[in-house]
Order: sequence, then structure tokens, then C-alpha cells
Amino acid sequence: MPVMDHPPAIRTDQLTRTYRLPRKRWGKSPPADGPAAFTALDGVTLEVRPGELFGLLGPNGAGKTTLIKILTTLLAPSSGTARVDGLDVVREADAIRPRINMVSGGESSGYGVLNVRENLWLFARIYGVSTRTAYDRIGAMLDVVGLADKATARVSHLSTGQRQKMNFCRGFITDPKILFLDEPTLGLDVTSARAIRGFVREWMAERPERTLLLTTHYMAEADELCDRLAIIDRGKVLACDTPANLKKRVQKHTIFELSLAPGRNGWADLGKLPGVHQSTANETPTTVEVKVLLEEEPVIGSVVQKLVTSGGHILSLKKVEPTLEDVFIELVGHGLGGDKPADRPSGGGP
Amino acid sequence: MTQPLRTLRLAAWLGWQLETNWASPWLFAIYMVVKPVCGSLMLVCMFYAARAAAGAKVPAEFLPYLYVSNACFGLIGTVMFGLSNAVVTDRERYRMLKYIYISPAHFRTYFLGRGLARALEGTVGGALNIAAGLLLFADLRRAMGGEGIDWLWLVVFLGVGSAMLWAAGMILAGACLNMSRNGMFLSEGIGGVVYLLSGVVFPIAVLPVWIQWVSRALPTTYWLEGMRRALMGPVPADTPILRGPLADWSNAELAGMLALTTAGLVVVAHYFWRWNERRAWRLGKLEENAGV
Ligand SMILES: Nc1ncnc2c1ncn2[C@@H]1O[C@H](COP(=O)(O)OP(=O)(O)O)[C@@H](O)[C@H]1O
Ligand SMILES: [Mg+2]
Repeated sequence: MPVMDHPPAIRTDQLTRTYRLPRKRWGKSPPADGPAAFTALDGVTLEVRPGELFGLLGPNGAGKTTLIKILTTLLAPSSGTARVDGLDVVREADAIRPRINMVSGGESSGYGVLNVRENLWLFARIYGVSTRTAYDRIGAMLDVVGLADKATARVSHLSTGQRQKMNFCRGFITDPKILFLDEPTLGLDVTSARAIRGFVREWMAERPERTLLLTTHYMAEADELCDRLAIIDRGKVLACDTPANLKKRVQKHTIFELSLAPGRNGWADLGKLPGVHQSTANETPTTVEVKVLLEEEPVIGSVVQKLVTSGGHILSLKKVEPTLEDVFIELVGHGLGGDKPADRPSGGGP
Repeated sequence: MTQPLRTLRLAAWLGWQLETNWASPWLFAIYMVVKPVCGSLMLVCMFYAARAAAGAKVPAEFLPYLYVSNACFGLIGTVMFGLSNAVVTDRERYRMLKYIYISPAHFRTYFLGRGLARALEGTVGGALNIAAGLLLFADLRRAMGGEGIDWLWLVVFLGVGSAMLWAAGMILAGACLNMSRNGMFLSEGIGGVVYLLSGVVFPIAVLPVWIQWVSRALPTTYWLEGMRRALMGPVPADTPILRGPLADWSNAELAGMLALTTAGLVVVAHYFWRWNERRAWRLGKLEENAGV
């Protein structure tokens, strides 16, 4: 639940980041006409309110990680400004650091010779958490990710996924005011990913002043978790709104799918009913699949009535929701697979 | 506890764990002795080979000279490479450098802490090395037994030396922030140059005069001279080959010069590190890895 009377948790203004591309290499000169720099973030203006669970949704190489790096004071912006908890990431980095934490998914980090608990304890202590509190939090977090039995296992003996879970815990044990999760469920199994999403929601509900910025390229995850999200592609924010509002954009009509018992009539002229924009049917030996596009949702009442009075037998009825993928396709012109565009200057990022 | 202190303690703890926990304690103990002692024995063999060839032209006092210098230089190597190594492994192997960087930990102090663990390792290694030498070689026993160890000067030279080691380490570590793991080669290369120029295995008097001036700008030269004197007493007057340009300096003069050059080094390290840290932040080098 956003708290309104505070400065924005995160605010960027025309934030841009370019990477210098390597100019020379032994024995190989770069194409003379090649670009000298690559723009990973291009004039990003965003505002995240305190208390929000905000998502950045975009394909590989969209610039999500770059944005997170800038916001977490790990990387300098090339131009534009970024503020975290009201503080400037360039001039006030030291003041930002105690209030934030970050977890990148899909990497296996950790001091191999320490065990899981020691790794987490070390970070809790760096953030000034007392040893006792740290142990309590570590225990609770390891339970969440199902790593409790590995607390005293050396990190070098963990699988990549287990290390990632440990890393996830590291983000929470310091109890940050603003937390950045970069693709937290990348490469995790379905059960673990679900547990993590569940925990993220609980954690946000626990204290209303917590803010979380999450990047993902899984649409379902963004849809399920985020209060609001920004769709980002090639360094540009294409849209920023609640998932429901984003989906409404692409949905000019309410769509229902009905399946009817075969051999009955009544579905053929549904399209003539007032309020029905379009009706299509597909007859199979066992059912008739009908899809109706309605101007307004309540029109489904008259559709059903029409079918019933003309002797039809409805086996199932289902409203079809547009997905964020539909939104994305509408905005970008291709799906979220991220692998299609061949005109990208350099390959997708890590 | 204030943040720098906390960072120092935690980093030292982490450094110690990383230094010691990779092997079983026994294996580690063996490593602690074998590594430095083997390096020294190699020099000792060269000494005997030279003595066999040239006879009395290679004075017996040469053995303690190079043995003690080499044992002390071990500390320089351990701390200097230790810091670059901390940068490179934290970034490339453990992939934790970025998390340390964005944490409230005091970044520079973090490396001081990591260096402390290395310094302890280096000191113990050096002491064991000298102990082994005392056990094996009568010449060394004679040299160190004459006046006994001058503890006061040892503390002085070790104290100022620590600042020197840390500053030198931070310069190399700073450079490594902006290099991939090849940064380690740079550290080793520089280590080799310092070894050559600081008069470890021979007095700097044998170097060409203009190179001697480079040597005299290096705090390591004064430090090694000071450490030798603290451990073995003044340079013997009757072996001219061992009497370099610093032989007539008093201990106080040596310590003063060491402090002066160290102060210069600390200033350079301060700005150089800051510049590198800033640059790494601008170029995104704090987490990039060399693809290994
Ligand atoms: N250090 C770098 N040098 C050059 N290009 C980079 C660098 N880091 C990232 N990029 C490029 O910037 C773009 C955005 O990367 P990134 O922010 O990691 O994307 P995402 O996290 O959305 O997948 C990618 O095209 C990537 O190739
Ligand atoms: Mg990414």
C-alpha cells in the first residue's frame, strides 16, 4: 500500500547509461564505422512510491540490470539523475547504502570456504545487525527457501540453485528499506520460485514502508507480484502502469470462450446480438468452441440467454484475459522471448 | 561500533577464514613452512654454488644477509599480492565484490582487513623461515646471535613497514579494480621489480648508479635494511661487498627515511585508489569478470 506523504522511494529523471565499446584488440581492428558506445539505458524517467512492489519487465538485454546497478550505487549514470529514498546516487551514495540491498539471480556467488550461515552472518554484521538478530533472521530465511538443512554446509558444496537461494536470503536479512531483486527466480525450480514469490509478497505486506524493485522477464511473475510495472525494451520505458491497466490497453473487447454440446443450434447468429462485436465458432465432433468478443462484459448475459432459449447446451464458459505478453507484443511488436531481434547492436546481456 | 572498525574486524575475520580454511589445519601448517623455506633454500643453494666457484670472494656473511632479507621480503609479497588477490578473487571467484561495494562497509577498510590476515600469515611465515634458517645454518646463528635481536628497532621497522605494505598493496589492488584477472600478473611483475631493486639478495651497491637512485626512492629498500639490522645488528665493517650506500646510516636515519618515503607512498596510494575506485564505478568494472 503506497504511502503518499514521503519522497518517492526511487526516482529517475532522463537516466541514460552508455557503455564504451572496446576500440582495439590485438591483431584485430574493430569495424571502422562501428559505434564507439552502446546505449543500454536511454532517458529513463520513473517513479516508484514508498511501499510499492514495482516491476521492471523486459527481454534479455533490455537494460534492467543496468538500471538496478545505477540505483544500487554500483555503476555511474552517464547522464540524467537518479534518487533512492530521496538521495542522489552520485553524490549521496554512502547515505543510500545502509538503506538498500540487492540480489542478482542466476549467479553463484558466495565465499566458498564459509558455510551458509557464516556467509549470511557476515553480511548481516556488515549492515550492523546484531549477531543474535542475524541468527534469528537467517534461520527464518533459510526455512523460507528450504535451505535450513544446509545452514552449516560449505558454500562450495552447494548447487548453483542453492547458492542462489542463499543469495536471496542475503537480500532480506539486512532488512533493507528498499530492496532490489534482479531476476530472483531465474533458473530456479517451479516450487522454489513459487515459494520465493510467496515470501516476497508476505515480506511486503509485513511492513508498509518497504519498497521492492524487481526485474523479471517472466510475465506471469510480474503480473502476479507487482503493484505497478514498467515495460522496458532497448533501454527505453515503453509503458508504466498497474498490470490490470496495462492489460486493459490492449483489450478493447471482453472475450469469452464457450464450449457447447454438438448438434444444437443457436450459436450461428450470436454475432447479430446487440453488444456482440464478433463471434467465431469452431465445430468439432465432440464440442462446438465459440469465441465471442463483447463490447461490454454484461452482454454475456444475453449471449447465454440466447443460447439457452434456442436449445443450446453450454458445457463451459470462460472469460479470456489478455496477458502481459499481449501487452508487450502490442508495444514492441514482438514477443518477450527476446531472441528474435537480430538488429540489436550487441548480444543480450547476462 | 563505528562502521570502519566493524568493517575492519569483519574483513580480517573473513580474510583469516579464506586464508586458512581451504585445507585441513595440518596441510595448512605444512604449507606455511614449506613455501617460504623452499624459497630461502633455493637462495642458499645458489650461495653455496657461488662460494664453490669463487671461494672466499663470496664471504660467509652473505648467507645471513640474503636469508634474512628474503624471509622479510616474503611479508612484502604476501601483503602486496594479498590485496590485489582479494580484489580479483572477490570479484571473479566469489563474485561478492559488488555486494561488498554497495554495502555500508567501508570499502578501503575492507581491504585493510583482508590485508591484516595476510600480514599475519606473512609474519608467521617469515618467523618460521628464519627459525628454520637458524636451525640449519651456523652462519645464520652466528650473525643473529652476535648482538641478539634489537626488539625496539624491530617494532619500529615493523610498525612503519606495515603502513608501507598496506599502501603498496592498495596501489596494486587499486590498479586491479580496473583490470581483469590479468591484474595479478601486474602485481607479480611489480613484485619482481621491487625484489630486484630493494637489495634483497645483494646490496644495492652492485646496481648501476642511476638504478641505485630508484632503489633509494623505494621505501622497501630502507625497510629491508632496517629489518636486517634489527635482526642481525649493524652491517659488518669487514665485508665491503655487503656495505651498500646505506651502511653508514644510523638506525634513526633509516627509520626516518622509511617513514618519509612511506608517507609519500601513502599519499600516492590514497589518491590512486580513489581515482581507481571512481573509475571502476564509472566503467562498471566492479563486477565485470573475465569470463571464467
Ligand atoms: N559492461 C558492458 N559493456 C558493454 N555493454 C554492456 C555492458 N553491460 C551491459 N551491456 C549491454 O547493455 C545492454 C543491457 O544490459 P542489461 O542491463 O544487463 O540487460 P538486462 O538485465 O535487461 O538483460 C545489453 O545489450 C548488454 O549487452
Ligand atoms: Mg539482467
